[in-house]
Amino acid sequence: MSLIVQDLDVSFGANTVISNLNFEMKSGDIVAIIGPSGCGKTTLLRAISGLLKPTKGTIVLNGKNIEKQPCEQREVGMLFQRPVLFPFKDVLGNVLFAYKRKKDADMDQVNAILGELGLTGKENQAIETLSGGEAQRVVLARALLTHPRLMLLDEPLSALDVDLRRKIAHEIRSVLKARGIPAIHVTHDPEEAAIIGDQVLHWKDLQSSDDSLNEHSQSNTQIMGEPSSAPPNSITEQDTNDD
Amino acid sequence: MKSTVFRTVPVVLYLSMILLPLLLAVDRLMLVTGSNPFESMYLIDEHPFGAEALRFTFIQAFLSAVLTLVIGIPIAWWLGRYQWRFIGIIRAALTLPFVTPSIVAAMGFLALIRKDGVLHSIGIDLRTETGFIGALSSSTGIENSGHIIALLVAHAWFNLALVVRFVEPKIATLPPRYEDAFRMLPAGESTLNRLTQFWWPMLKIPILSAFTFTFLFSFTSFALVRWLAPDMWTLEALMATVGGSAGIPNYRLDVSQFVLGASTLQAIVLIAALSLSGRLQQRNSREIELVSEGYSRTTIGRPGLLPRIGILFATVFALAPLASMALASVRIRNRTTESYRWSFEAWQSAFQGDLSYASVPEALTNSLVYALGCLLISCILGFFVAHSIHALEKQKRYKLAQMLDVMSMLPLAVSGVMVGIGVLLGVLKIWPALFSFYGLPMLPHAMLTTPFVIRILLPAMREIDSDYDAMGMVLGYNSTQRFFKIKIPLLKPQIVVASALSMAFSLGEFGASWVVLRSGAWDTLPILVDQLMSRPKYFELVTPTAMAAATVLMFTTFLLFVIAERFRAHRGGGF
Amino acid sequence: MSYSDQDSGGIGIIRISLILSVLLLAPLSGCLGTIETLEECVVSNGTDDNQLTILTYDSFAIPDEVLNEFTNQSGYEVDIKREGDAGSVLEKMLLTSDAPQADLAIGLDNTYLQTAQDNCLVAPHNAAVPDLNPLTLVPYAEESAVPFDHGYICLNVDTEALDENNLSIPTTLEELTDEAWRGRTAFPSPTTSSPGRAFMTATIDYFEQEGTIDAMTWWEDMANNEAIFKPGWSETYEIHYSGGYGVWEEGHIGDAWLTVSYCHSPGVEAYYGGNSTISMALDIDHASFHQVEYATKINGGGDAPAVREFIEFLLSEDVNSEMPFYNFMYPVRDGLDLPETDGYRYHSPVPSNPAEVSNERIADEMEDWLAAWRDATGYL
Repeated sequence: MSLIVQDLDVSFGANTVISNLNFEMKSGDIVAIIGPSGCGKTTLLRAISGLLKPTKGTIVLNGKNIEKQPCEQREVGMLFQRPVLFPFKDVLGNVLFAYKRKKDADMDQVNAILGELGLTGKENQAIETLSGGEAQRVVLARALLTHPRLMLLDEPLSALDVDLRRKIAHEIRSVLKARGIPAIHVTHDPEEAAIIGDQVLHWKDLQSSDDSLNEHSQSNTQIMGEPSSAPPNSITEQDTNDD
Repeated sequence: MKSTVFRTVPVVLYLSMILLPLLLAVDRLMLVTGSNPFESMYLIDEHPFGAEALRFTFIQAFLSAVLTLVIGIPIAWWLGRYQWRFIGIIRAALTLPFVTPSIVAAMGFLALIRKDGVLHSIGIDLRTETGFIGALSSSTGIENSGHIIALLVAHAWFNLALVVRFVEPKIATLPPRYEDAFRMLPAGESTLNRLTQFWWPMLKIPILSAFTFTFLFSFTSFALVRWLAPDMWTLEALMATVGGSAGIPNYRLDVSQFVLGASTLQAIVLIAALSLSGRLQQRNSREIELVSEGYSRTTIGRPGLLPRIGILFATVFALAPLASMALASVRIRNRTTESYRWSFEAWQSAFQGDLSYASVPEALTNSLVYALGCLLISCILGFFVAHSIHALEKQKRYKLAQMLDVMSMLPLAVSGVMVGIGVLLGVLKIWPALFSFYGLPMLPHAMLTTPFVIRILLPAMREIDSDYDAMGMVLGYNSTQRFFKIKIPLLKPQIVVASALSMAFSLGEFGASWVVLRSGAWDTLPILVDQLMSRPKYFELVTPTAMAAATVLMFTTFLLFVIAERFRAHRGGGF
Repeated sequence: MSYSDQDSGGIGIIRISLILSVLLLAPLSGCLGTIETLEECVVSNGTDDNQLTILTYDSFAIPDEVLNEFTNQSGYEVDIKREGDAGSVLEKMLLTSDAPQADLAIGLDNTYLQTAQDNCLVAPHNAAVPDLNPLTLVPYAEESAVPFDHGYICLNVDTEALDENNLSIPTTLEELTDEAWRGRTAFPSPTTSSPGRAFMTATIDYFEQEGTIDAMTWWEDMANNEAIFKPGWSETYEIHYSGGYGVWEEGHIGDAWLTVSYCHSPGVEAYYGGNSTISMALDIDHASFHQVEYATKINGGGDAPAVREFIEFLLSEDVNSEMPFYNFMYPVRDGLDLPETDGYRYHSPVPSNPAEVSNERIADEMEDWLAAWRDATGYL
């Protein structure tokens, strides 16, 4: 797996949200990006997933330009801040949304993932009855079943309390690692970033609208697969990720 | 490109099906009369009955709205403030009148005031105007005051649910401590002060909204005026009666002139009332903090004697006309003596069609086919027009979206009879063969229901979290798949509500049908009831047969609502 | 902006379609301008679809079995389209004169027939007509319309109310302007009601024969005597007339002792009232109107053979003799009359001298009479 984001600009009308962002990611690692609310982290993930169209720049996934590809063909998984579950289906129904046709569903795999995430027995529960943590687990199960090439985690735990957040953060890391799915995790919480990410980066270092910083950031935001080759400016209070 | 077609076709269809006939009708009337709609409006009183119809329309609508509030507010108050044991049943009973087809309401009230009916037997004589009604008639000099009273009470009966539905929740969910706090203040010491300075400001918006809607419905009410106050003219009733002579060159120009002027005036009043209620609704949405009903009710506790009597009276009032009607279908006068017998002869006659071209089963079949057709047309068309408006809004093309939005609301400013005349004049000349087309009645019905469907679906579409669509995309669903697997299921509650409303509306629709389709073997049930009732009644089974047909219509409508309620699995607003 | 909205550059099509729809109106309204009265009638035939489409009024009620019998005999399916009354039938024919929607009209009477002829709405029927009661051929006896039933419109009084109030049975119209009759008479408006129109026409002749006052002066006097004017027969007869079945009905007021109805209405009352009625028809010379109702082939309608066969069927002895029950009217076949059963015929006097007003005169002057009547009474 490789992901290269080059010279990415995203603006909404006159409002520039991301300017000249460069970012590269190799191998099956999980990268956590820390930044304050409203800085554009979500926008970056939406641009990578295809939910919005960048104003300028290229996005290369596994050696192929995808910035013109519609979202639904990009084969990425995504967790939003709030768990997005369809209210008209129960838990199992929501999980089976991973398959376009019901008959394609691999029930063994479905049951295995539900078990792994502690959801066994809740299959027929209405989604209104789930707790926030359970709901996000259901979303995660569904996303995993689509076998994404890349998982995008957009502050998925921000609505949960601290203990639960920690617990689910560990779960997320574990299921992703077990399947070797690379992921980008954005958050404003350093602790969460530290739990989930192999690498932890600061948003301000990825992008700058100031031209003078451009060259600097461009050369320094290369994220390499190997932790040992971590660039100097990637924050590395990291890395005690042994679940 | 595909989605563009999806958005353009329904808009064009909507414009040509729903708006075009009306515009063509106006065009034709302008051509025949040589005057424009606004000029015609000033000429309404040149029609021999125009001025009287104009005056009575406003007066009866105003009085109906006042009476509705007078009856409705105490009921809403009692219902909202206390703990009631059978609140679900009481609410259902009070809502029943509002979903009753107007012709059924008319038959219900006729049955209630008939010679051997309940009211007559307790000395309230709205027929021959003896007793205190007669005294009222002679003291006020108002001819047929009994008829007018019957009409006003029927309008109040019909719209009672509006007051209860608007006002009751406000009372039921207001935190009791607000009132407690107000009582402590010097201003809150007297009951009068509490009413004027606390409750009125709290409740004025729902009360005014209910007033506006009741005024609106009474303003264009037709079946009730036709049957309960046959001596009186409203604009709607007069238009329906003389409308057939309109739009013919060199023939009864006064009628064409009147129809054009009265339609314009009605449209203006309807638009004004609708925009007023829209504005009130907006103000209403700035809510203060609310508590759950249960909490508020428990605090105040169980009702005393007066509220109990009041609610009992309200429930009986809501059900009495319908029950009387059902009874009147099996109560048959004897030929020679002033006595009655109980018998199902009228039901037999209704089902065999002895007294009419169409039998009840035939008319019911027609009604159901039209209701289903109306549902399909208005829900599909309404859905896609709402979809197009919403899509434009998402693209921030607000001007165009707003233009379409306003256009989609225009038919709301048109009454049933106006739609009927619109179809008659608009379609007849361009495509007369349509008048031999069995499906024709679906057109006026869909014209009347599609705007409601759009009004129900558009806000729901706006409210859908865009994350659902985003999630669908991330999961790899293309736009068609997202549409059927996500959007439609998310909108299901509103679609069910819209479908039930379209069907029920079509089933009970009277004004437009009365103008358009009193013909052929395709009578609908409401038209059959009217036709039976219009027959010379030398034969004693005529009235009971009409009552039997109306009873079938009533049960069919209620059944539909019960089914819809079952279907509406979760969420979504009430009817 | 998300991808789902990307390919919508064509949303402009909505705008174009809006404009197109509006533009569409222009040419269409143009073609609305072409309705005009023809100077000479051109008889034309529409398409034959082997289905007989009949345009009639609501209360014309031939039972399904009888229609089925016609279908069995002739092979033609029958489709019936109905309007509120004879006037609406004429109006529908006028409205659809360019493309008639029916083949046969049933129910135009001698007050409407001439207007239909003047507007070329009817065509010769070519049916074989049996011997008819000669009286029914007085107003019109040509090929474009054939009588199928008839009756007399006259004043009906409540004999019981007259007894109770010591009033004698009126023998002149002038009496009705007396104080004793104040507020006690009810008339359907000639503008909106066929019986009303017929009776108003009779009053024209009545006062011309009398040579005293103008009919409209009498109507004005009646209005001043608080006569009750209502839009239709059902309102006057059912709600206001105290002598009819209305007493049984909802909304009955019963303040009128006299109203306009058929001379044989008391007969129908008696028939359904176990040979008993308090209602009585007045035989006042020239104050009744002989109404003849016609079957007419619609000009431009199709299925001429079916029209012909249906007219013959309608005039057959079996069907025509049932008119007193189907339509509460007299049969037209020579030798047929109202049935004797339960006082039907006994209570149905035939006026000795009904009004004499020609169809042509009715067509020419009706609009003026109506306007004058509205002026005189202040009613619609």
